[in-house]
Amino acid sequence: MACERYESRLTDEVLAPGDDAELTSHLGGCAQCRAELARQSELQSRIAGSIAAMVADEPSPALLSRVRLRADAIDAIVAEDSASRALWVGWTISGVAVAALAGFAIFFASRALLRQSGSGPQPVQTAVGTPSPQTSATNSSPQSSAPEARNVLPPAPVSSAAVKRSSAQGGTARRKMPRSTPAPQLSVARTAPAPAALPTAAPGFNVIIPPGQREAVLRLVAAMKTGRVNAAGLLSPSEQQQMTPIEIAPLKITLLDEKKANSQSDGNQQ
Amino acid sequence: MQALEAILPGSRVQGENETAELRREFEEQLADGASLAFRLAMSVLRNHADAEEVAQEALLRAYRGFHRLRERGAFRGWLCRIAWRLALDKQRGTRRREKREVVAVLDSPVLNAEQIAASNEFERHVAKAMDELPEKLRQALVLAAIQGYTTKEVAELLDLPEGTIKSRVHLARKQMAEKLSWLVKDTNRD
Repeated sequence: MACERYESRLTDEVLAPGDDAELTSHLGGCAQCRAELARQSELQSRIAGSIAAMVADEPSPALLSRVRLRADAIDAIVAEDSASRALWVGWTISGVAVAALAGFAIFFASRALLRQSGSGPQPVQTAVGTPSPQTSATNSSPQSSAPEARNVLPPAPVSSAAVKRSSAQGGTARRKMPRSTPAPQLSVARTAPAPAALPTAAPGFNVIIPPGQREAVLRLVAAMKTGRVNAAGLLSPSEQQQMTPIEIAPLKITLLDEKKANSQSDGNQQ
Repeated sequence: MQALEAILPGSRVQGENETAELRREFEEQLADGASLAFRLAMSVLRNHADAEEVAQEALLRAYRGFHRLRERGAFRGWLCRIAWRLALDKQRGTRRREKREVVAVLDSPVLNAEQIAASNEFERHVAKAMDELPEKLRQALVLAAIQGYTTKEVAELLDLPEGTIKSRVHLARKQMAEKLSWLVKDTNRD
């Protein structure tokens, strides 16, 4: 049995001989510790031998041939995969390019169509009962035009300034309504002529309004343009005349006691 | 092909020449690598067939990723890690069966230490003690035990300082000795 103090250090001495000077000097005078050191040394050599034997085996030659066969198979798969991947990438790139081209084509085509049709809303044609200027001039009867026509505000006559503006905005208004074309005049304008000061509607727009409210709408448009809307001013003079104040007699409130007294006095009188 | 590979990074798009070159480089490493992978697997599994299976799988995995390995000199260390991990995985899968076998051996009629040491049972005890070592110590001990590998080479394989490997090997041997010293003491008593 080794000395208890040195027992744990004996293994270190076996693994790294001479590192522990104190133990080396002790071993010179202690036979038991020397014997324990010899046993530890033998154990270490046995352990090392076992481990070395454990990892000393060589693989069979068949291992290399098996690995080579499997590597060949991997190469074949990779080659096939590379080809299909290259094809896939090619198709993807082509598809993306075609999609981009189609997108550009659609974009430019839609832009061209928008230019042709005008940037704003299309003018509403006064298709129903819009008489030609000559017809309007000869026809003096208000009933001769269709009732719907009375409610349609005609587009304003296109002035040269308006033509310039519209051409600056896209130049489509000039094509739709040439300068030589006079604005259609409605019979309602003759029967109830608008005041000279009344503004006209915006060029290129026709507005359908309820019957009898043409002037009011014109005034509303003018007010909206100036930014000041006076509700009373929107009413036509005739409508203002029709407004007459109503007189309501004040209510008389009598107390209940007075009512009773009155009824009693009435009964006495009877 | 290279352009396509640049578009899809990480993809393995190879031409025939590139594949042949990779294969040639792999073949140069194959014989040495197979031996190393097998021995490592053997140290963990202690079964020839299982170790060959693990070595084969490790080599094939290394081959699949060989094109990503920039430094060919690092191949052995890389293969070493793959084989070690695969072997440990396989060992975990068969641990229950192995445990039964070890328990059966340990529960067998008690032999004295000399008899145990004289028989193959000593190696079983060594193997069991090795399995109980921490993984880092175990790996360093096994690699240092493989014939032909110096501490410096083991350090290069594991990409660690040489001093660290020396320390780990020393610690592993000491722990092994502490676990197996009862065999020597029993012999003394007899």
